[in-house]
Amino acid sequence: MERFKEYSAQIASLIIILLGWEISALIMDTRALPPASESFADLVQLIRTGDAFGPLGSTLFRTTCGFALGFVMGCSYGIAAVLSRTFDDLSKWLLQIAMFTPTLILIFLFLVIFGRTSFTVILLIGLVVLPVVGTYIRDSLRDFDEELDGMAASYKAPLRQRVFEMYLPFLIPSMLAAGRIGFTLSWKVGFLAEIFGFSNGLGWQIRTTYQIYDVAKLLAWLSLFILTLLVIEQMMRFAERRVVKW
Amino acid sequence: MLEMTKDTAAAGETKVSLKNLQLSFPDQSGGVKQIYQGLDLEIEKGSFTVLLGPSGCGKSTLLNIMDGLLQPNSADEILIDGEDLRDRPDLSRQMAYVFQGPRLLKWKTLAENAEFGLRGLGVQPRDRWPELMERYFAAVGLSEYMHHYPSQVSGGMQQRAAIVRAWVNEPQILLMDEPFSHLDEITAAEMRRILVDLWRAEEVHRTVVFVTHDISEAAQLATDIVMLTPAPSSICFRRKVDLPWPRHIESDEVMDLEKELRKAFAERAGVRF
Amino acid sequence: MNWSVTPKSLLLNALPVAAAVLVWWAATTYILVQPRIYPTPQGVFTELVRIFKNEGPIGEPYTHAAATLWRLTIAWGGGFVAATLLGVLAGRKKWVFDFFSYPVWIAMAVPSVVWVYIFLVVFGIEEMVPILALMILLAAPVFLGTAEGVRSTPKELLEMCDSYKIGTRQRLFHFYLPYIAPYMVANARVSFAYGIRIVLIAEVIGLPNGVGILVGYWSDSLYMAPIVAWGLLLMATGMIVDYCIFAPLQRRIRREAEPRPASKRQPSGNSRLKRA
Repeated sequence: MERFKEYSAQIASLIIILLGWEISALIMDTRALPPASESFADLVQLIRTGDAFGPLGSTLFRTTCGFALGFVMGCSYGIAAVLSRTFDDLSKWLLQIAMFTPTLILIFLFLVIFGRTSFTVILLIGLVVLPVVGTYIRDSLRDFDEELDGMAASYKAPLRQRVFEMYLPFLIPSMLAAGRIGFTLSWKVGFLAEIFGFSNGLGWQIRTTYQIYDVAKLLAWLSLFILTLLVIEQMMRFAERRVVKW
Repeated sequence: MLEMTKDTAAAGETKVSLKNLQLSFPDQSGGVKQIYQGLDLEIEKGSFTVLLGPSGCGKSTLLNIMDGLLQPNSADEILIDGEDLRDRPDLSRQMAYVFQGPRLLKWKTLAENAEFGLRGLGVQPRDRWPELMERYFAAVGLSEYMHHYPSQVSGGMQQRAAIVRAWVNEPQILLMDEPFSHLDEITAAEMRRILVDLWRAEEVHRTVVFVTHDISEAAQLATDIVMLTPAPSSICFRRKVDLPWPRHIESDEVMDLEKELRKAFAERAGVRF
Repeated sequence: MNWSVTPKSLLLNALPVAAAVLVWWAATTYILVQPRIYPTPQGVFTELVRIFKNEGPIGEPYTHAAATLWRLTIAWGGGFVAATLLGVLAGRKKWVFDFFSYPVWIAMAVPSVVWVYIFLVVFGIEEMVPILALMILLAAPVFLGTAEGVRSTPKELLEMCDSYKIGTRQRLFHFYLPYIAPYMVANARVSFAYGIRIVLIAEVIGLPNGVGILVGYWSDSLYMAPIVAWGLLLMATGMIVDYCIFAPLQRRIRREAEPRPASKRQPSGNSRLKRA
């Protein structure tokens, strides 16, 4: 019952948004706001004809690679920063700089300096994701219960056993959470890089439809963008529930 | 019936012997806090020794020293079965520790937690693990819950699992640091009964070193009571207890013993309960 | 986070930054000699001086900077107030929270530039568009943070208020507000840091002024030094506001709020996740 109430409230908001969109489009009757049904027809057609998969695939590919890069670097950073005070000090300002640099500036700089290649976007995503995942992992590792270290010491557990049976399992929930947030970020940064100067992918499609003022199609591509993210996020939540049983 | 043996070696064989222990920590205000200034302690083999003392007197620290987790500033001897722990660090594998909190790994089931200890100490042959775990989980009444995660069972059950984690190693010395102090009194009383039953069930009793600040708990469990003063701590009172189990809290003998301990505390350690 | 500062740790903090600048200088001076695309530190410095002297090709930099900061402040302030109010409501009533969960998620998932696209075609009112886009994005995390804060108010204390018949006004000022104050500061901090990173994205299309326009202009003319200069300026602004206003404020409020249950779950502005 509780579950049902939760879902119905969640879905009610979506229905209200769609209805509001449809009705205001019918009342306004301009090219600027096509009805929701028209946009969805476009979306269905994009998927049916297979036109959707090219741009989706290339965006997804770059996002996944960039995310993987940033995630691995972020986790390594977080662990290293907890293990070594010196490393923490050394990286502190660099990390702050990375966190406060405007994303758009990074995008412009990277695209010009390293050229408009997939590799550039991957590197860019990695660099934006790193501090986010890094600080998350670092902070949650700092919350590790020192009493468990004492327990492991008294039972003479060797380093290998401590790493694989204590520290790694402890980190898994944080890693999954950081991964989920990091992926959303990657998806958006990759998309932005495409909007600001890349000639394929979802971002490029949205930019083009905006320039030729095809609003219905713009919204169709946007829905595809949102739906993909939603599906991936749900998959990650599912994985979280499956893996974290305790 | 109740005779006093003051700071002298007990009649039986000695299991642990600490001589002239010195330990100090730097405290927050930049000074030095003396924990022990020449403490001597002997623990008899097969005894259920309760270290009784006020909070912060360094009772738990003694356990850490016996387990080799902490080095004192100096000591003439830290003998386990006549051999010095500092020359034979592997002697501490004969001991198992039960902490104040359960300290279970929450991502492992109770059985996996017990296995963590078995693998760490490595004194039991691997093929005996399943049989040992089954036996001791049954002994504390947790057979049905072996494959539950700690979050799925009560605090008392978690602490029982922590006792199993220690006991499956069949350690020669069991170190227990106020293991029931955070449980409610009814659960704690049940836990004491389980612990005593487990200990008495074996033909050759294990040596148990049990730390507590609870006089009544000491009176219910001990065969040997060692009373410590506040830090820098020394042994101010020591006696053997020769009462049968199960001991009822309200029986005259136990009440008399408690009274005696309370009096000794007030007179010798300057602490009133 | 540990904020203890010793000369040694300060040196360690600064060392890699200095080394990075040195590498940058060496690389652009000796290896990648092409100052338009690979700007040198001196070049960037010259651009900074030009910005401070208020010289630029498409209008005065001060005007652009003022426009950007004004938009940021309005959007951040408006988003903060609206989201806090909604967040309090959502913290009290579960169904409000559930109702807003998808819209908030979508608000956060759609990049600001796309919001600008949509608003531009739908409304066509130019000045309000980037502000609205930013407001939507900045409000979302504040909403979530406030709802979390309100939900963390302990039930026992609420019961205590009930039993002592505490009135609404007193309850608001002496109970709820102190309880969510740490969350509010953390939200303000996170959303401001986030806003300064993304305000440019909202500005870059179809507006007469703002730093975003300048950056877009320089990017189109393939001249990188001013872009780096503006990046440094914005970064510095964000850091200064963060360290001089939010960090001390947060520390003060936390000290007042302690001791609290579940102190480990305290929001800590910097480590909370930021999204672009």
